[in-house]
Amino acid sequence: MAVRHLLVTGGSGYIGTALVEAALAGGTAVTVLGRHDLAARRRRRQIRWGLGEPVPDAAFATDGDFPAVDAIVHLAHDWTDDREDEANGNIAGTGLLLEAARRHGARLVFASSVSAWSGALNRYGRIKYRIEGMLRGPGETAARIGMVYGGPARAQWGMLCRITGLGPLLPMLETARPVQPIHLDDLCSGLLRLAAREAGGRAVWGLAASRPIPFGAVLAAIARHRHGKRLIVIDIPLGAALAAVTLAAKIPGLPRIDRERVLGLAGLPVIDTADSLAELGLTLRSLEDGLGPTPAEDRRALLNEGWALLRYVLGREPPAWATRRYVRALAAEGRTRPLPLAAAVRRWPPLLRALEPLEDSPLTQRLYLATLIAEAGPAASMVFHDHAGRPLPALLASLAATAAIEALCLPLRLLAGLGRR
Amino acid sequence: MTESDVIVVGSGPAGTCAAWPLVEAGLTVTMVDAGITRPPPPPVERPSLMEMRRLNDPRWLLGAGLEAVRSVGDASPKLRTAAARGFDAGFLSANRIETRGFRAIGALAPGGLSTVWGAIACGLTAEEFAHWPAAAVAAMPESYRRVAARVGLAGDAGDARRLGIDCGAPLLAPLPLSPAAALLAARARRAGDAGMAIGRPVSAVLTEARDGRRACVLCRGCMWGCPVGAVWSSADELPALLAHANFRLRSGLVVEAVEPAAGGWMLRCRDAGSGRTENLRAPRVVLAAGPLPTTRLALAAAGRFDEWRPLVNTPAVGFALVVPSQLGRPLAECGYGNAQLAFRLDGGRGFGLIYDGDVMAAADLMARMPLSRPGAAALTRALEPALMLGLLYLPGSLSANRVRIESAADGARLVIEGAVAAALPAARRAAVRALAAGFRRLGAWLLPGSARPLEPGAEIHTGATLPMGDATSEGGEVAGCPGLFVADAACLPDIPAKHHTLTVMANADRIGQRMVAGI
Repeated sequence: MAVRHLLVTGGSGYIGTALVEAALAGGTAVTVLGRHDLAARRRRRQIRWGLGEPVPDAAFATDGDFPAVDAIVHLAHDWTDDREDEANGNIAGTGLLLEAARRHGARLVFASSVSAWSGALNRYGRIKYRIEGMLRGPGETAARIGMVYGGPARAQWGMLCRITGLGPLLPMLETARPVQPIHLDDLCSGLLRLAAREAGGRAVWGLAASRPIPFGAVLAAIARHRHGKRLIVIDIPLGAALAAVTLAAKIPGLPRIDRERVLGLAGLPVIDTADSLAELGLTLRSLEDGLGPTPAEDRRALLNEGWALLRYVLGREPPAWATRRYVRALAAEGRTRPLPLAAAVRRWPPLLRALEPLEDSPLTQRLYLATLIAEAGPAASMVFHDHAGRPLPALLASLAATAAIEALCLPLRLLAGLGRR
Repeated sequence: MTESDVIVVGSGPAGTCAAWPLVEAGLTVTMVDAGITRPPPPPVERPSLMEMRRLNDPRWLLGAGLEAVRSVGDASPKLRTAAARGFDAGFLSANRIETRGFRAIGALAPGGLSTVWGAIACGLTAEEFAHWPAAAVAAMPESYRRVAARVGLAGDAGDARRLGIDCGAPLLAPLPLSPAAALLAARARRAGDAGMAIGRPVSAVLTEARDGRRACVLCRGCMWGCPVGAVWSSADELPALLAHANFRLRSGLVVEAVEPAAGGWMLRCRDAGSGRTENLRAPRVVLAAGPLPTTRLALAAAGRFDEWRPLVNTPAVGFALVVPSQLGRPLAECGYGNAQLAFRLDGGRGFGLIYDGDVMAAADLMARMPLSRPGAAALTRALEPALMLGLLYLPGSLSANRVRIESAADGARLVIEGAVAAALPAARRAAVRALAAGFRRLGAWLLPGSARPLEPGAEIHTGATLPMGDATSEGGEVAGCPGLFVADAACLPDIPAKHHTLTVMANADRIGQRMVAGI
């Protein structure tokens, strides 16, 4: 059954933003319930609402672009509420939402978590489990979502991207804990399929990789793909981590670490999702496929790489055509991935003079292409060629200066080469 | 069904030269060629090289499809600057060639590699004809003349004789020399030829307009293709051949196998585009597909599987010279952009060419300098007016490659194993020393560390797999396969150090003439 009008709570968050886009792209009208204002957009409207408040009737109002609401995807979650009973804003708020859904005959998909179980170590898992128990009506389902990654670096995914980029070593707890990742786009596709399902069938669905991966391996893979580096993940025992959390909370000036998050990871169970995924007809991309940057991100990084290499080769700002042609020439050779150039080199390309590989390498080959392209414009006509000629003393002086700089750079280039090895 | 008297496989220099006498004798000739469209030559209005560099229009040097922005390794930079992307792609797989330690280069394009060649046209000396069948040697001068008359060769007869490349045919006026080359040539005339002869090469380039082709406009842009058709390509001959009613061209057909059939030979062909198969028959077939594809077809037709045979190539060395007296001079605005001078080392130790450094892509020069890119740019800029780049070719006897065909499910496969003779390193060192001394005498210095051997095969001077007098007869007929002829470099008895294209063309013409006489 097609969803013609979807109501989304938490629609401006990490998952919500992507879900709304995916729904709109599929021709579904979307009403976002949330606290943040969204820019006006065709077939998408926003109703101001906070979790715990009654759902305004306006959310269900129909007009030209907005037919009756078929389904609700409930993503919103309040992390700040530390009550464990019915008074918890998440439980009470979901109750109000369920009431409205039942009143308007809309299906509801609740975004739960693989950590949802009665004995979960953290409050988040226990609250999610309790809410699942509230879904009793037909057309009310919960999706137990795994570790979401991919897309813009926000939320937990953004934090993982940040910490894996910090240094060569990363101390982390529970590195052997099996986790079940799911790419943001696969998750949105799964949630939309659930929203479109007729009432009946299972009440709880698993949206997570059916084959778990050790958490440490996920971190290393993120470092490899996002930062182009080898990350060594060092395991910290849970007890030590919890002690550190307690200590950090007592010593002023130290960063606060959320005990909830630490316990969430420690108590993470593995759930069987293979049947859910098969029933939804959903094939999840592999972590390796999903971690790679999007084609648009690759293109931006390649344009930047082209600019940096051309800037370096020419010793001056390259023309825009040269940068575009750099990317096109690589694409014609089937190469669409940027090199892992250091951020400093991307910002200040002359640094390459002290880092340029002496041996043949992918960077040497790209520098060759950049030189070929640079050569086709008038700037290179002056940098690479001396059409008019010059007096011998000036020529010899310039050669001596070049030799001196090269001699200075050579040891640095050798060192950089050893470092790469 | 017999479709024609003769089928010629390949439209390169050997194929067109073998076809001419057959067509002129009134035989019906079908030329089968794997290529479909010739890589388009640059437009006539293309500016000179120096203007292309100064203009803010990158299309001229990079190509509209960025053909010139890729790496071709050791092989001729013209494979990227003057040919379409993919020009040399598909050659190995279409011809089922497997290589180990050997760079096999070819093109599935009308005119073959002659659309990107350096147009050097050498005749052989009596010593170099030593292993040829006597009847062939006797007929070669006339064939050289016939080919030269059609192609148009520019050069200086005196220099050609000193260099041992004179083919005996009349020459057009020589191409002008660049300032650095003129200086070396003048000094060589004064100093004499002790140890090394140096002079103007003979080039298949028009210095006067004829047959609808224009004379060289001296734009120095040869590396990026000739915009006026002054540099000869066998693709230029196809329209003239097609003007004859008894000549047909079947484009886009890859010949997969040649098999004996009633009354002659059957060619199993596959359409390069659609993959559709088609059989062609003729009483006589001339293989001129390039030495490697020809070898595969001929050996398979003769049933000579799993038999190693020598494959000769001329080991090559790239090097750079500096003519100090040219340092600081302005760059030449106009001139010829291919090889300026040829040199011959005494005792048949080697033959080579030198080019102006500034007609090459600076990126190629810079890529060979062990400096950072800005350092290499500064050095290029400083040395360019005085820089000359050379290629030295050593005799084919110093190569030790071997080749054989193996049967596979999808037909015969040609396996090439690259190797060099034990004597090569010493011979190469001696030849480099000799050329360094020869040029030093003329005031040109070999840049230290610049002499670098090319990967075997990258110089594209290969052949002699089916030498006349052994695997083929004096008339190019494959032993045991009456009516099947080889007309390209595969049938040369050996590969001399010098450029052999003109000799291959003359020999193909001779083989064509002999076939006519036989019929």
